[in-house]
Amino acid sequence: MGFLDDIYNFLTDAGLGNVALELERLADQANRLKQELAAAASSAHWSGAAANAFRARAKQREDEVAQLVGALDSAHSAVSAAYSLAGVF
Amino acid sequence: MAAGDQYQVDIASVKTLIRAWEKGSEEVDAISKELSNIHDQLTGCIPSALSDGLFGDVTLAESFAKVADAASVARAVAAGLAQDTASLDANLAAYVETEASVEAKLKSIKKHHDGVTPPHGPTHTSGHGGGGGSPRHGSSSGGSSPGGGGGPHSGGSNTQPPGPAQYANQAQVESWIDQAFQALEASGVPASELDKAGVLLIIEHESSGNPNAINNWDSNAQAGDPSRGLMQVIGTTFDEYKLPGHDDIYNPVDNIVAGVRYALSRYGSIQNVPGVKSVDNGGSYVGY
Amino acid sequence: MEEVTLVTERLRVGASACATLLAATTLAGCSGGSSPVVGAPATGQASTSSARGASPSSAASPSVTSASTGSTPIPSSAWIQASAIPLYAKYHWTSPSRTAKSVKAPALSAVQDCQFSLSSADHAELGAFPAARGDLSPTSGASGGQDDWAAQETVLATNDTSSGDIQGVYHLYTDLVADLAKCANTASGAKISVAVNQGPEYAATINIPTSTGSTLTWHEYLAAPYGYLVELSVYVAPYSGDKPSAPWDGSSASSVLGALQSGPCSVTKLC
Repeated sequence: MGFLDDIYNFLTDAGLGNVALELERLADQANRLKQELAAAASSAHWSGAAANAFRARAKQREDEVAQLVGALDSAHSAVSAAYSLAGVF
Repeated sequence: MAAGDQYQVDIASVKTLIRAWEKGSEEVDAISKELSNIHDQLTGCIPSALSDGLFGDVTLAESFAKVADAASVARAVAAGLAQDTASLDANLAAYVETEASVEAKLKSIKKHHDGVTPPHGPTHTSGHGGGGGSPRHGSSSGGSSPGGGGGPHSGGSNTQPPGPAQYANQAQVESWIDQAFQALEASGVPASELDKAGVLLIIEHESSGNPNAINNWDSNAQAGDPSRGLMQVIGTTFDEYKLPGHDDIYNPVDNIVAGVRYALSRYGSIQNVPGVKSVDNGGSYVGY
Repeated sequence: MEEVTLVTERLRVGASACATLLAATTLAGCSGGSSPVVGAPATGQASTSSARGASPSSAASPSVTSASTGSTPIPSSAWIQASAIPLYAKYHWTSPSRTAKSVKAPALSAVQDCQFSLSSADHAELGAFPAARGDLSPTSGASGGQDDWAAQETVLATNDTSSGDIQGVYHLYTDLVADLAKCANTASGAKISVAVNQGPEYAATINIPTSTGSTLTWHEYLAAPYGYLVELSVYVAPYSGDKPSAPWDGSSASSVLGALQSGPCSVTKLC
């Protein structure tokens, strides 16, 4: 279909052909970050009420970063699917 | 400072933690900016007449919207991590100050001891165990964080918290739970249903003891009804399950009353609340 | 088939818009000539979603499969087994997981047939979450007309474990149940007989006279397993004076509700 070719051209001319790969890279980065945050929180020598409050918060942040990973995965899948139909891959 | 309220803190270790959090916040912020940039370029470059076309079940426009979603999640996470860092800095400053004043006191005692013969009385020992050990400190609060509301703002301004985040310590939270349980029992809930440890677990995970907590970025929040307060109830939950005279969602006692009534109504018991059940079985906490 | 026509029309619009745009010289808003949006592609990374190993209780990524198989953000195992749907023995329904299509703010049978107005909060909830609908047709035993039963399943999923979302979807469910109870107020002549209304499960049979003189007989099953709203409706509105091409098979409402929830519960493992 002619206009699918045009989508292909628009995307590649604007240098946007590897957006999907970049989204995947960002998802991996966010996932590594989640693990780093978890490691940092668990290895701090800190106890008491403030520490307990922080650890609960840290757990919540890890969950939030996991949600970010999910959102990036979702964006990556959707963009890949749309691009593959347009023949970019 | 209550008896037994002593903490072990390795200041260098907390500093490392703060650096990790700062780095995390910067990284996620960079991710959010990159995602916004990608989204702007994508939507700017593809004529909407083409991107709105229906390719199977996924339109280009919809997939770009997912990039925008990821950008806004990243923004919220970055803001949260930055907020944590501010609160960690405040904790650290408090510890450093306490340690400095304890050191100063010990120095003056030692000086007094070395230079002056005390008239009478027992000999002071310095009690300071030398260089590398973990000093013991007393600290009275769970650490309140300065500045900022509970999180990034979404639409309705009337849902936002009345003040900044303040993380209460366990004793304070337990006192709020006790008060809420009193109100619940007075309304006819049997004491046997009121599981304090379970409610404490929910609060710790939902808000870390911050009565002004608000989740501004899940789908429900985007639909206009964010979860709020100690037990992170949404407005419709709170309105349906609050008790007369307990109608402030950001009041910690009122929030617990509504949260517990909802939990009992939906799940039958506190032990059966999914997050409590999961943690009891060795799994991770989940929302309710 | 409505969906194909819609797709074709959109493609035609796209093609003509494309021709117009080709005549234009530049695309506004494009930073042509500037450095590419993205850095060098990552190399040597095993970059599959499963490698990240998100724990089951943290935000579950929606499983978006490749577009060519008709993907929806609802996990395929969340759908009811076709064999558990009433009248399966007669009609051998197509499988909802295979026929499902994404919908935004789905038109639930409950709302369409009882014709009540959702509150703005419930409208917002319906539109806030990934959803999909499977329209099921008989693969055998049908007479091919209005006398045949039809079935439809709609699934709305939070795909996460955030308390706000979990509560929001549940409230939508409780509001729907309350609205259904008042079906006679909004759909004139409606008669409703509730079989189950307990916790997150609801089943009822509703008869509504239609404007063409036929009677809509509709079995409604609604459930709210953790993180989900699920609706199954099995219905028929025969030609005036006709009987349905199959008598109701008397399926137990409890077992249909159980089957409706077992998919979502197997996905979340939290119910």
